[in-house]
Order: sequence, then structure tokens, then C-alpha cells
Amino acid sequence: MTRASLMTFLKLAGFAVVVGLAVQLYRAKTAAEAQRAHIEALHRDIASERRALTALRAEEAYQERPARLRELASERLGMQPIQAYQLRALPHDGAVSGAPAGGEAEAQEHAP
Amino acid sequence: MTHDPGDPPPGPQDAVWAVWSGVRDPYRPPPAAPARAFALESDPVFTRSRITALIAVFVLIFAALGGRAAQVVLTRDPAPPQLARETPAPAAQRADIVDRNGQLLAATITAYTAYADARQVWDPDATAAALAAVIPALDRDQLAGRLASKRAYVPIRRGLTPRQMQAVFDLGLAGVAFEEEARRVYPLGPLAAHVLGYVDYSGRGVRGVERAFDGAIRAQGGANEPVKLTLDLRIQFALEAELAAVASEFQAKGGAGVVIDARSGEVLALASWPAFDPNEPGDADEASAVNRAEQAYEMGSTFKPFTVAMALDSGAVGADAVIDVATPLPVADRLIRDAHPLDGVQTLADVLAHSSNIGVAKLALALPPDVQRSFLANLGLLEPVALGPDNLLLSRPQAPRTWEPITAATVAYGHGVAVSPIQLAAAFGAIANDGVLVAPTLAPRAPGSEPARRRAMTADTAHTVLGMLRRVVTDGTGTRADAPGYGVAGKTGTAEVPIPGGYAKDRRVSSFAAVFPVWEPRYALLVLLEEPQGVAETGGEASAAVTAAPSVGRLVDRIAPILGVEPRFEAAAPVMAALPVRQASAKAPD
Repeated sequence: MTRASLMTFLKLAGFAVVVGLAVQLYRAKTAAEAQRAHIEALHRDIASERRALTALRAEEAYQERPARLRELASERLGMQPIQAYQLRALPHDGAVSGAPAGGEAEAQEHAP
Repeated sequence: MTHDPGDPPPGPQDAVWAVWSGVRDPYRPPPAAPARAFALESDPVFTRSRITALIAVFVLIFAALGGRAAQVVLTRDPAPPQLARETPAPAAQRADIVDRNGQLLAATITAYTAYADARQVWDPDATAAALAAVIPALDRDQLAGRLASKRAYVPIRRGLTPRQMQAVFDLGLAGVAFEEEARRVYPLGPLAAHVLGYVDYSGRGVRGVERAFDGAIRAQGGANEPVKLTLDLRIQFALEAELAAVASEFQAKGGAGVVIDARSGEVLALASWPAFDPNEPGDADEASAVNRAEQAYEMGSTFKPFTVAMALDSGAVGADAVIDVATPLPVADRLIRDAHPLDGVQTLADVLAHSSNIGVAKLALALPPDVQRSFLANLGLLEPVALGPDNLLLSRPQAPRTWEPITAATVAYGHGVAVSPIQLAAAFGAIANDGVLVAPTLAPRAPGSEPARRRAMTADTAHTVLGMLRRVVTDGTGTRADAPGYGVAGKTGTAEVPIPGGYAKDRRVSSFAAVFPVWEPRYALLVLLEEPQGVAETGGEASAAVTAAPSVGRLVDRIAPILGVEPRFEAAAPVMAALPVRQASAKAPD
């Protein structure tokens, strides 16, 4: 191979390498752009889901507002706020402790 | 360079070279004398310059194109401009507000504004009718008129929910479109409205926590962290329900209530009646716009425990002292009387139990007025108090400039000094907290941080007064405040309303301040009614004993299980046994 043809080959090879690198760079750039668009879409989705979650939490708080729960518990289940005489402390052994005689009597007095 | 005549004549391909090199074609006759402009065009030097300039321009253009191509390939594109609908409105950056258990109190949701491009609306009447069918609050005729105006932007309705927006969308009306907006909502409606406050149209907090915590709400909104308050939604609901019930029953002008954890100063519930809906703050009337929990009132007899505590703490009297309350007490040009005159001498416990004005006035007069003033100041009753940053719920007490003997005598039973329900509850908290006053707050204490506290009285004084307050409930004016099993200790207060030149005899503020459970006091609470009216069930009476006191009893019944207070039916007995009762040998301080 003459010197001139060697130079021509090297030039062509160099040109091919440059073209190849440019193509790869373009593909990488395009892929990165696609990923970026995907990430942005995900961010939009997250923001949208977050908004929906907040709206649902507000809806949940509205549905579980104490006035409504009290009304439902009273009307549908016949429940009333707990009274002191209905409470007994449970010791560690699980046995129900009885109130002293006087306390028991007083508790019975206030039972409806 | 010259052309040798022996060489072959130059061909056409050499013409460019000749022009470029500035050699004139030797075979072409010299041109006739040209005009000046023509001479310039045909000047080879000038022509060469033009070509050079042209090449330079092309090189620059291609360099610019290449550079831009390299920039496009190698660098990231600038972010595309955000669409208007994706731009968060100011309110969107506000954090949620939650109670101490994480229950949602305020949030920012996406709402929609429906608008129309009236130029594209085919039939204004039909469009308005269809919209009014979906959004009942719309004025159909007015909307039809606006749609007929052919304006490019006709707002239809703000604050549509996603469901309402979908309903309008499903109508398929030409020219109707939507804009997203951030909207602050309070899903519990009027509950805790006065504490939470509200925001204006730009999303800026203008009242209550929304204003006072505005900085924190914005900062934590960016981090998606809620702002937590000390309120307990369950206690708040119980307080507001009880306050509304008793205020309605006695046709009160207004009311206020507060529940405080005396050890930490954390406000568990704070209410003002009537309430308003912070979702529609513009609809609030004058009565509901006032926050009575921060308003100053002359509290009346709920001040008496402080007078007794002052007398005990200063050593002027002992716990076993008795006082002659049989006759009215003249002070300056006034005569201090008791509403229900008592016989002979009474113990300090009985003075409190039966709410004797004469008894506490004598205690106050036994000491220099400055002692009383500094004692009340130490209880936080003479200085402004705020529950959070930026003067949230700032209470400004009203006190006389000079402290004459008559001032000391009237202040002893709660006239002459006006304080807010928050302040009074916090001062009662000091009695519950072994004599230590803890500054009330709506912002939770950081773990490991110590709240601002100061000693207002000795622990012995606090314990003694606590026992006396229990006697008020078992044997005195506050028997209706008893919540069996929960050891309520407290004091009634029925004060006449000050008017210019004196007091209105027919207008009263009735209140009951309490602490519980008496064997391990931790919670302080207050229910106050502004100008309650007597009813048939109470024989026309509207004093604190028949209005606020029963309300506190019912409230404790409801909230004690929530607070985890274990009921005891015998535990109050030792506290009561420690109290002296009628020791006639003791010397009265008069």
C-alpha cells in the first residue's frame, strides 16, 4: 500500500469513525430526550396523583367528620358516648377489678 | 505574472484563474474607456474581494449552522415553557393543616373555573339553562345575558369540584371551557373555624392559624409536609357541640370554650360560638366573625380562687382561717355584698364554695394592692398572651392603671380586670400543675423542648386551692359540674357586663372554669356564655351554676375517656379529707 493510498484509507476511516460517533451521539441524545420526556410525564402523573390523593383525603375527612359519625353511630347502631360507670381497669392478669363498694354503689346510681 | 506569446492560448478554464490572479486576457482587446461604475465592476481586484467576502459569508453561515447543530446534539434543550394549567397557584404551595393525631383540618385541592368564549356560544339561553341545571347556584337569566355579550371570556362559576366539572363537560356545550385553580378547603366545615381562620383569593392567610403560621404553611407546603397543631379533633368536636347546645338552650349572645393540657400548655380545643364556615368566610355574619376565645371579659367569681391562693401564698392567712362574712363590707364609697348572704364566719373553703364576695374582698384588703397585682401578673392575667407566631389569637387583658383599695376589693371577685377565656384556663392550669404556669400554645412542643413556664404559687398553695375547688363542686355553687368518676374541681363565675358608667344588671357573663381529675390534675377547661337568658327549667335563672357548670360536667363526661382518664369513684375522698372545715378558733383577717 502506497503512502498516498494509506493516507486516503486513514482519512476515510477517520471520517467513518467521526460519522459513527456522530450517529451514536445523536441516538444517545435522542434517547436521553425520550427519557427526559418520560420522566417529566411521570412527574406530571405524580403531581396529578398527589392532587387526587389530597382531594380524596379531603373527601375522607368530610365523610368522617365527627358530627356525621356521631349521627350515624347513634341512628344506625344505637351507640352513645361512653360513661364513666362503663369503664373498668384491667390488671395485668386480665381479671376485671371491681370498684370498691362505695364506688360501685355510686357508679350504679349514675347508670341510666 | 505575464503571458508568453509562445505558449498556447489560454482556454476557457483559465479564465477564472486569470480573473482570480488579476491577469488580463492578452487576446482580448483592451476595453474602451468605461464609465466609472463599469470600471469598478470589471476591476479584477474588486471582483476578487467580492468573491472573498462571499466565501466568508458562506463560511460564517455554515459555521453558525454547524455550531447550532453541535449545540442541539450535545446540549440539553431548555425546559419547555410550562402550560398555564400546570402552573401551581399560590394556594397550591400551602401545606395541609392537621390536628395532633394527623386528622385533616385544611387542605388545598384542585378546583375548576368554568368560563365561556361567548363568541362561540350558539344559543345563550339554552346554554345558560343547561348550565343552571347542573350548577343550581347559577342565576340562569343573568348568565344568559352575559353569554349574549359576545365577549371572549365570560366566567361562569369558580371552585367547581372534579365531579361538577365532569357534569358540565358532559353537556358538550360549545364555547364552554375550564381553568384549573388551587382551592383551600376545610373539610370539617365550621369545626375549629376560629382557630384555623381562612385564606383570601390569592391564597394568603388572613385569619387564625392560616395567617399566623403562614410562613410555616408555605415552607412545609413545598416539602409536602403538613403543619400539625395541638388541637385534638375529638375534644374540639365535643367542646363545640356542648358549647352550641348550652348556648342555644339559654339563647346566649355568644360563647367560648377552651381545653388545655396544663402540663405542656398545649391547647387541645378552642371554640367560639356561633361559628362560621371558613369555606365561605364572606357569608359569616358579625356575631360569628368574632372570636370570643380571645376576647377579654370581666370573669367574676372565677377569679376568687386566685385571691385565696394569693392570701395563702403570701402567708397572710393559713388554710384553716375563717372569715366573718355576715355583714356587707364598705370599701371607699361602695358596699360589697354577697348575692346569697352567708351566716357568721366561714372557712376559706366555704368562702369559695359559696362564692362570697365579702370573704375574698377581705382577703385582698388584708394585703397591699401591689401584692395582688404582681400575683395576677405572675399568673399571666395582666399581660397579652398569644398562642403561636405572629400574635395568633392574641389576648389583650384590660386592667386598671392605678390599684386602689377598691380596685383590689373588686378584682378579688373578678371585676375591674378583663381577661380572655384562654388566659383564665391557663391560670387554672397553674393550680392543676402544682402552681407552675405553662404558656398556652397551639404549636406542638418539639420533642425534648421545654415550654416557657414560671412558678405562680407554691405547690402547697396549689394543692390547698385545688381541694377547695373540689369542694365547690361537691358542696358549693358548682355541684352541677360534677362528672362522677372524674373528680372535677372548679369555680362558677357570673359577672355583670360593664357598660359606660357602671354595670348592666340584666346582662351577664356566666362561666365555669375547672381542672380534672382532682387526684392527678392535668386538664384545665372553661366554658363561658355571653348574656345567657333564663329558661323555665331553671326558674328563669341564668347564673353559671345552672348554665356553664352543667355544661362543663357533660363535657368532662365526654372527653375524659378520650383523654384516657381512668374513672375513680373513691379517689377524691383523701383530697377532701385534707381540707379544714369550720375551725372557729382561727383568726379572721379583718
